[in-house]
Formats: sequence, structure tokens, C-alpha cells
Amino acid sequence: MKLSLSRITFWKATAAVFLLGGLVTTIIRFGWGLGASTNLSDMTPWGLWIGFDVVTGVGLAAGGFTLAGIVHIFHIKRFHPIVRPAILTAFLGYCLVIVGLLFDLGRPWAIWHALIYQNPHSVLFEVAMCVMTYTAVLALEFSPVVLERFRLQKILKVVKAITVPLIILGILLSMLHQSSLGSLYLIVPQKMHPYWYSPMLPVLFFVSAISVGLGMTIVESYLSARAFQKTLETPLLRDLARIMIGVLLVYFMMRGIDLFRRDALGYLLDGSFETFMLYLEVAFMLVIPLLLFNIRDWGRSRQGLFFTAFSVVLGFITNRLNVTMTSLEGYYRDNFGVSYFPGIGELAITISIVTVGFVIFALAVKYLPIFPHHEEETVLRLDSAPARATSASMHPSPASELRRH
Amino acid sequence: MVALFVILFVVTLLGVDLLIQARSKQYPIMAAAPAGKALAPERETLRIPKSVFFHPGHTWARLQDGDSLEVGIDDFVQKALGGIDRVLLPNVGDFVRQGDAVITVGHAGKQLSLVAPASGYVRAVNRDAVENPGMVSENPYRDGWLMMIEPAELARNLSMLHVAENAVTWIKDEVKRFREFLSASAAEPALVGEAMFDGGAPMAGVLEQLDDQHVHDFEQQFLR
Amino acid sequence: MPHAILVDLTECVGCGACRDACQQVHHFPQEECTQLDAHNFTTLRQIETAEGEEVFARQMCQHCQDPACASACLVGALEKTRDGAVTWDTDKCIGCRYCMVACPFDIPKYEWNSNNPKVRKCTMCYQERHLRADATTDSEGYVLDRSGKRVSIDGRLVTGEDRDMIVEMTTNSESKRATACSVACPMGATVFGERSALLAEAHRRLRANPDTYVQKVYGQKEVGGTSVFYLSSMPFEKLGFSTKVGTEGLPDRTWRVLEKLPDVVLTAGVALSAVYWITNRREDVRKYEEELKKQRSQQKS
Ligand code: SF4
Ligand code: SF4
Repeated sequence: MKLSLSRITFWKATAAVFLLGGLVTTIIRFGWGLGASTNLSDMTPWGLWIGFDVVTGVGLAAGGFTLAGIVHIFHIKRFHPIVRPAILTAFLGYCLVIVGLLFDLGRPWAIWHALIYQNPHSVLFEVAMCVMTYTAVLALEFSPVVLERFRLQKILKVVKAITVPLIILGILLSMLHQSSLGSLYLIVPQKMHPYWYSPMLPVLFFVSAISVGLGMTIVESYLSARAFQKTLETPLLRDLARIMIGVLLVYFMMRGIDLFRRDALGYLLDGSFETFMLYLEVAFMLVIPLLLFNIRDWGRSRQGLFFTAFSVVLGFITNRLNVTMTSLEGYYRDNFGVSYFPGIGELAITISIVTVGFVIFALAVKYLPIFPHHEEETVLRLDSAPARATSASMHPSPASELRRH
Repeated sequence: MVALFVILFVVTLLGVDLLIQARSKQYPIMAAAPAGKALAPERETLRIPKSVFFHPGHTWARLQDGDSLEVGIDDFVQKALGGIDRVLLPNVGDFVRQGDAVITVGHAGKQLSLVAPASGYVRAVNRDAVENPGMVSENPYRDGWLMMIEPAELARNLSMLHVAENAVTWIKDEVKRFREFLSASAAEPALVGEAMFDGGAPMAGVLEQLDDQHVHDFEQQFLR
Repeated sequence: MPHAILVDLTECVGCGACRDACQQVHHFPQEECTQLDAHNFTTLRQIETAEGEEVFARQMCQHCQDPACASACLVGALEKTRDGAVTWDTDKCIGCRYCMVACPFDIPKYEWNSNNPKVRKCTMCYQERHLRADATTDSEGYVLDRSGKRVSIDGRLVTGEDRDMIVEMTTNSESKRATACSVACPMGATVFGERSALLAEAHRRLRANPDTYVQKVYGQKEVGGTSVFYLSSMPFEKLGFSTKVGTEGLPDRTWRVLEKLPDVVLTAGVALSAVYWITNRREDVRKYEEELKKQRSQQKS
């Protein structure tokens, strides 16, 4: 494992740079306001923070309710070991979304107003309520992990007793807000490109969230395997990938029918930037995963599944950013002659938030019982003396040294 | 534009990671070589899980849910063969007896038959492993399990097997014995190649370089 | 009684009096402006026609009958009042800017460089028009409302001096309270009044001078109807007016989805519980049968 030192150091250094940038921006953002820290303007009021940190972020955290549903409601117990990492990511994801939101809101201290000045006609109100409640639900769903760690049996019993209603509530809330993130854009039909404006947006958002939730779970599992040797079994991941692909096929069928019914297919050959972005979305989310999954050695190896899932995640990000930004670019250009590109500060904050997510996830995996209990094993070293240059210089250990995991 | 930028950024990060990874050669991800070989990590070590019972013939058994035994081959054979690209298993429903040679694994044209670590009816076989034997070398104790047995004489069988500290001592002895076996074979160095003289990993894939007679000897001396 | 504004672009000479009055009554810096922003609720765009004629297009909040901004705002900070104006409540806003995204005319603007930023847009002088001329002041000179509280407009306390200025600027020649812009307009191009009366007046002008006007009252049908009407001699799209907004109230689009949600939740909740019950029961049955089988085989042996 020491071989990987250089890589880990590299990423640590990179993370430190990003975080430093984030820190500086935080000071600017809260000291001098949004104008000083972002490229947002009166014409482009929503940018990267809403598009990525919030709309995309909530989707990427969809693994929690998907897996909880599969295991606890549909009783496909095989997947039980995946529920915890999925719920952890979800919980973390939602917390980070809220952090991102605090950066983006002009008056973050007033965020609680959503609780008292309710406007039931607002999609955003519904999203806000659901996200708040669901974050609480996730905290409860995740709490057994912490309770187990500190052996708080009594509270654990209470939480376990309400697991099922809690999970049903979680799924309902997720259904509501995952789809409503799409509904947010229903109110601007005339501003969006026909590829992405659709009365079906809520449904499409929900279905794609399910698929990316599964994808993220596979990705995390691979990454934690690499870093901590804590992971899930490959066949299990493959089954997960199979469900993911199934959901994706359904999604793209709906998408195709939707585009066809709204006569949006006519643009497919216009060579515009929007068309290119649509193709990119389809390539990442459908074509590449399908290919990878069906190549024998890839679809069955951990790495292959990782790349399959990662491609879906990329495709999903493309889709969400297309809905939130690409589809509006034409409108901004034609009406105000402006285009939006995130400022350095916006990028720094977004990257920092993602980095913080990685770090917390890593710490949690390390110190909390997230992945199934890892079997203790003895690892016998066989290589002796300075033979094979690379490995020997890294392991100057005598023959048959014992090392405990 | 923003979407494109974000995607390019993420892809770049992934690319950098793969690059560093490829240079540190920790997991040769990009080398899409034949499954079993490319995916075997850390060839220079042997893993000995604590909760696994080892048959002296280098197969293992693990108790599952109290009423079935998970069975597979151990890291030692797998390493000695240099990977697995062929797995043959008994049929579901067959009765296997402890010590009967019922499992066949192969790599690069060399084949070994291994014994059942316990007696009982075969309840399930790992089809994924048969179709994709690389899994066995990737993790012989988890994904790479081979079959499930409904044990017939569990207590008697288990008394024959090594577990925990015993297993560690036993494996260490086996490694020593294997080195001796190799140097004996090395009376004809041309057959054995230089692998074991350089003091490096004396195990990984060494059987590949032996002729069929020596492989047969190995089977008799180590796998029975 | 809902009010509205009628802007007859054929009578506008581009003097900018409406803009100046607007800036003054809201205590904004007096400046030329070409675009709406946090300190400019109305602008005049100068457009040259093919015949070399100059036309001025006034732009401001349309005060939609069913405003997208108000439906979007999660805390209900924006509100369509019975008076006709769409107003914004400083105290509620959390600064999400969804109103800015949602508005089909891109009207609401933001104080980007403030640390306590406000959403700003034309308020149809709502508070100004309702400021009573006989409102009393306290010892420090601040105007009090009927309950004896100090009056503030947009977070700024109103002094007696302010009151006099505001009242003067929002009282028209008929001694009725009106928006500052309509009072200031020397040509009568911008008029404030009752919505139905103004609409009738607009159509009367279209009929009386069919050659002068394009036969359309912009704002009558747009996004389901607004409270600001425009008459023009040129097609509206040439003046930069958004003509793609449709005639359907935009909030309907989201409401159609939102109103279904209770049903969806109910159905999904029942379905999920049912699935849980069935799969759980199946699991129990399976366990029970296995137990039975075990017992039987034990009995045999
Ligand atoms: S024009 Fe825009 S800001 Fe004005 S009321 Fe209509 S939606 Fe609201
Ligand atoms: S920015 Fe303020 S007024 Fe606009 S929608 Fe958000 S909370 Fe409402």
C-alpha cells in the first residue's frame, strides 16, 4: 500500500489548494456579497451553485432512498450491505447541499423563513420542506451507525423499531423533491431550449435520480475499496449495475418519447452547441455504460463496473447542468447578449464542497461501521531480499514478515 | 458552456488519477490483459483470513448461517498457479467427500485438481466464478468462492482442518516446503527458470514454468 | 379595486420624466439608465424604425394578474395585491432569486453588492400611493401610521418631508393618487387608473385610430393578463417586447404538478406499505416453511 503514497499525497495537496481557494472565497462572499464573489448578474440570477451544488447535488445523493427502498421495502436482502454506505452519502450529500445553499442565498440567515412564511403554490417551497425533512429522516436512518459505534443500545432499539415507517417516509419525500427540482423549471417554458423543457421534467428528474443513486453507490464502493480495502462484493455491485442500466433504459425511452411528442427531434441535426450537449448526455448516460457493462471483462470486474457507473454519474451531471444552464444559454444570448460562466470564486466553493464531502466520507468509512464488518486476516509477506526493484525498495522487510490488517 | 466545462474538469481529474495510478503501478487498471492475471493485486503476499478453515490440500471452508459451508481454493494455490483462467466444479446435488479431488482449476494450460475440504451435498456452485475465473484470483476468499455444501459430518470434518494461528503456522510451513520443492526441481534449472533464484517472489506463477511432471508432483505433495 | 397602467407609446416623446420621477420618489440616484437594475424600476429604450423615426419603449414590471414571481417565491414575499400592484416584502425574502428566474419578463433585479441584498422591482408605487397626506409625525419628525408605529418604505423610515414629497408626486391632476411616473408624464403617455376602465380606453383608441396602432393591447392577454398595457404603432416584437410568453398563466404549469402531489404521496405511500407487507409476509412464510422442513427431517432421522 505504501506504493500509493505518492498518489494520496498528490490528492491531499490538490485538496488543500482547493480548500484554500474555498476559504478565501467564503470570506469574500460573506464579507462583500454575491456580486464580489460570483459572476451572477441581474440577467443570470442562478449559476453554478444552484445548478451543481443544489440541483445536481441532491440527485447525486439519491442512492439513500433507492437502496433503502430496495432492501427494506422490496426485501431484496442481498443488497443489505450497500444500504449503509448509500445512506451515508445521501446524508452527507444533503448536508452539503444545504451548505451550498447557504452560500447562494442572498440572506442565508433567513433560511428558516421557509418554515413560517409558507407559500404552497411555490415549487421551491415544496423542495425546501422536503429537503429539510428528508435530511432529518436521513440523520435518523444513519443514526444506528453512530449508535452502534458508541454502543447506545437503548436508543438503537427505538430507532430500529421505527425503521420501516421512516424509510417509507424517506422514499415519499425523495419522490417529491427529486421530481420537484425538475418542476422548478416548469415555470420558464419560453426561456428554455426545447430539448430540456418538458412538462415531463418532474418524472424525468425522478427516474434519472434513481439510476444515478445506484451509480454513485457503485462509485463510492470502488473508491473506498481503493483507499481502505473496505468494499462490497463484485457480483453484488454487478447486480446493482444491472438495475441501474434497467432504470436508464426506461429513462431514455421516456426521454425519447417525450422529445418526439414535442417535435424536438427536428433539432438533432442542427449542429448547435445544445445538440452537442444533448449527445454528450446520451453518450455518457446511455451508450458508454451499455458498452462497458456488456464487455465481458469490464462488466464483471470492479474497475469495469466503476467506469460504467462513473460514466452514468457524468451523464447525470451533464443532464442536470444542461437543464439548469445550457438550456438557458440561448435565451440569455438572444435577449441580453450575455453568457454566464462561473467565476473563480464560484468554482472554488463548489470544488471545496465536493472535497469536504470526500474527506468526511473517508473519515466516516474509517471510523464508523459503514461497510460490512471486515474479516480479520493475516497477510504473509513472501518477497525477501532486494530483488524486484520496485516492490523491494518499498518493502525492505525480511522474509515472511507478518502484518496484521 | 458551464456543463461542458464541469464535465471536462471531472474527466481531467479522473485522467490525472489514472495517470498517477498507472505510474505507481498499484492496480494496473488500464492494462486490459486477460482477466485473471491483470487483476491479481499484491502478488507477493499470501492472505490467511481468520474465520476460514483450511484443508491441508489448500482448499478452504467457511461456516455460513450455521447450516452450510462455503468452499473455495486458497491464496497459496492461486498464487502458485499465477492466476486462474479455468474452473471446473461438481454438479449441484452431487455428494462430495472430504479429501476427494472434485475441483479443477487451471491457468495458462496447467491444471490442478483439488479436494473437497468437507463432505456433503453440493447445494450451489458459483456460476460467476466458472464464467469469469479471474474472480477467483482476485479474491479467493470472498467473490471467488466456488460452491456451497450442506455438511454431512461437520464436526469430524472440521477436526481435520487448520484455522486461525494453526492455519498461519501451517501456511508458513507450506511456503517453506514449497521453496524446498522448487529447489529440488531446480536440479534442472532450465525447466524452472530464474524466478526462484533471485530471491524475489518465489511463488507467483512459478508453476507455469514447471513441466507437467513437476506439476503432477506438486499436486501429489501439496494438494492431497 | 384593481388598478393598472396604460402606456401609449405613440404619445411618448422620450423625455424621461417617468424615469426621473421614479428615481426620485424611491430615493434612487438620479442617473441615465439603459437597463433595469436594483435602482431603476423603469427604462426607456430608444428604437429607430426603418423610416428613420424614433420610438421609445418603456419597460417596467407588468404586474401580472397571475404573477410567476409570486407563485415562485417560497416564502410568499411577493404578492399580488387587490390593488393590482405586485409588491415585495423585505422581511420575508431569503434571497433565493427564484423570482428573478421565474419572471417571464426578467423584471426583478438584485442588489448584488449588498450584504443584506434586496430584490427590487417596480411596486406600482404601492406604499407611496397609500401613504396618507394627513399622517402625523412624532417628535423626531418620523411619520406614524394609524396604530402609532413609524412608517417605513422599503426599510427606510419616512420623515415628514418625505411624506410631503411623496404625496405630491403621487397625486395627479384629478387629485387622485397615482404612480409617480403617470403623474410626471407631460404627454399623458402613461396613465394610471382602474384596470377595466383603462382596458376599455385602450380598445377605444385602437378602434378610433386603426391606422395609427397595431391592433393589439400588449399586456391584455400576455401570461394570462397583466396590469400594465402598451399601445404601439409598431409590432411589439420589433420594440423588444417579449412576444413568446404565451397567453397562459405560467404558475398554472407548476400548479398542475403541485396539485397532484397529495394524490401521488397517498398512492405511493399505500403502494409502498403494501409491497412491504407482501414481501415481509413472504419472508415470514419462507422462514416458517424452512423450519417445518427441518423439523420433519429431524423426525425422520
Ligand atoms: S412582470 Fe415579472 S416581476 Fe412583474 S409581476 Fe409579472 S412576473 Fe412578477
Ligand atoms: S429572492 Fe426573495 S422574493 Fe425572490 S423568490 Fe426568493 S425569497 Fe422570494
